[in-house]
Amino acid sequence: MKQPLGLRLLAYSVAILVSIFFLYPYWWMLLGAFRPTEAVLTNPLQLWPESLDFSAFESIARVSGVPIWRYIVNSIFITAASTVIGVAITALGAYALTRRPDLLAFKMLRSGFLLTMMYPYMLLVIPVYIVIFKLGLLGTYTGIILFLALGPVQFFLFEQFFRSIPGEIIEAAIVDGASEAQVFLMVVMPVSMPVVATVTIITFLLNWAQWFPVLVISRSPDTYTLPVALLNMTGELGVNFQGIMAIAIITTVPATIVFLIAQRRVMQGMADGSVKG
Amino acid sequence: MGSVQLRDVHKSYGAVPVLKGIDLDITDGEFVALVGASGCGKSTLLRMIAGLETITSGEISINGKVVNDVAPKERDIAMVFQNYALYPNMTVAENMVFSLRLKKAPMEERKAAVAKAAAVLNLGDLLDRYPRELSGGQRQRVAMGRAIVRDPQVFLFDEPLSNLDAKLRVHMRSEIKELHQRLGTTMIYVTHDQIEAMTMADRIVVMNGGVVEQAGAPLDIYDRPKNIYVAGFIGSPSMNIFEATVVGVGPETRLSIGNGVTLPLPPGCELQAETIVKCGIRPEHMVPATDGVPARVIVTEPTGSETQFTLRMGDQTVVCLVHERLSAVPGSEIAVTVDARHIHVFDQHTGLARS
Repeated sequence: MKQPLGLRLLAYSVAILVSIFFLYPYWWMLLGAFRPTEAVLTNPLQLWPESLDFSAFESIARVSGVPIWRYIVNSIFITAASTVIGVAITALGAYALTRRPDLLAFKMLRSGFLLTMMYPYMLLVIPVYIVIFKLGLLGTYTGIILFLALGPVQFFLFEQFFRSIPGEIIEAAIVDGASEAQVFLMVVMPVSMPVVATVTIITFLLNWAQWFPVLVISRSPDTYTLPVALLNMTGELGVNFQGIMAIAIITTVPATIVFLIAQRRVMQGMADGSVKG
Repeated sequence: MGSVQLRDVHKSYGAVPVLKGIDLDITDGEFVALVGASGCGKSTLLRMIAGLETITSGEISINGKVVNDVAPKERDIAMVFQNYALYPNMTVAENMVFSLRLKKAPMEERKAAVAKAAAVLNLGDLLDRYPRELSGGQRQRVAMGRAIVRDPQVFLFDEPLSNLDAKLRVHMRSEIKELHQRLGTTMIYVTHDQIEAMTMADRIVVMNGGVVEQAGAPLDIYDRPKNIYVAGFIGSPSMNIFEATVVGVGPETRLSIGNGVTLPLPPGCELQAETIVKCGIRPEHMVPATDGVPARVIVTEPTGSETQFTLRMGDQTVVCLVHERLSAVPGSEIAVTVDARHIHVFDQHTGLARS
């Protein structure tokens, strides 16, 4: 149904206004990377650079004594590994819980996951530190990756989706002679590709932006990721706006690209989970 | 060979009993319909035979081998579900061959099995399609094809036609029956639709509240219901059942249904005067005649081949099914006769047949 012109105009104006509201800081960040810090400080609201100044990208070649490529590689490696492991493990866990909710402690586990969603993230610092320390994984990639791999949001997305798969399909496969593993790999997983895609993208975006657990678990800047490097900029160089903005660009651009490519999938998956569940 | 024996099978969910001691012998090649209202435990029983539900107590054997603790895939059964349960990620051919793929059967065997099932069910043109591209009837045929490919000892059907529209259901009914005649494999068929059970099965098992009320050939059950539940459940429109008082003695004994109207007692049925019983008459056994029990027409429902009359007879409202075209209009008085042999008498308290 077509809405009256006036109403549509109003809707578009509101949408554009809100978009500007959200896009402006991003634009400001882009500008900041190419404007000298002094210029940013004297004329912060300018919408166009006086001249393109690439010096920032030289100044951030090393942060905290570690070359910038190291952060980039760390970010890619840690995010990719934790995403792959996370999707595999949460899918298996959610499937087990959907299939056999009667098993001992499964309900408790589920509530536990819910609790972790409500628990303030900052308060995790002590338990995370202690657990990783006891596991002997402090300062290792393994420690960081394992911690980032598990997420309650991913778990619930999988669980919601698995619940929407008719039980008869699984039973038909069992009668056909499939083992539980075969049911999972040959029937449930292929059917669940939309949610796998959604969870993969969400996990990637979440983990790409993580800095807090990385900071807690790391012992030296060698295992820092880009967001941690960004954090370190403030302390070390005072207010090197230009440098901060340059790292911010390196950090946000990949995530933005991933999101732009995949956003339809993410929205769809989120909606599927909530409606069908 | 595919015989199934159930011995004193019980099932409870927690403290709630669902099946209360089921005994049943299904011989090889038989087509048995489990029929009953929702919640009578018929689907649970089928799922227990399939191995999808555990057995609380009792014994289920297939071919003389107790299968209580045998995994579904070891039972050599195939199941067709109400909502088809096709694998959405596989084509029709892949769906049908899935069990053989799991068995790692050789390629030639897989191809031959699919070709055979496709020929039986007329699925040749659909083999490369996905389930979402099929109509309901086609999906159900694929589900049956998947079962045929396995060449099982026993086919289990769990209300396979409930999701289809009325016309297609009638068509699929005869298709399944033909399939049974062609394959000669044992089939156990769960349905809540007694017409389906009557038309398809060699034997009907009427279940109610977790027990078997009666098991027997369809017409046997129709003609000689063992109790009032079976009498009311089997038959459409269902049997007229009303209260009656026995009056008179000896050969003069009759059933009074109020307002001075009496009916004869069925032969071989002896009852004490003043006994209150339940009396049952099938609608088609009430025959309009020139003289007989007077009745007033309340509603007429012509369907073309037959007309259903709702009548007021004595103190009772009854339904009468007539194949001739009667010109009776609502409000008019007619007379009906009932052959004594077609009157069923049930005990008022136990509901058991007395005739």
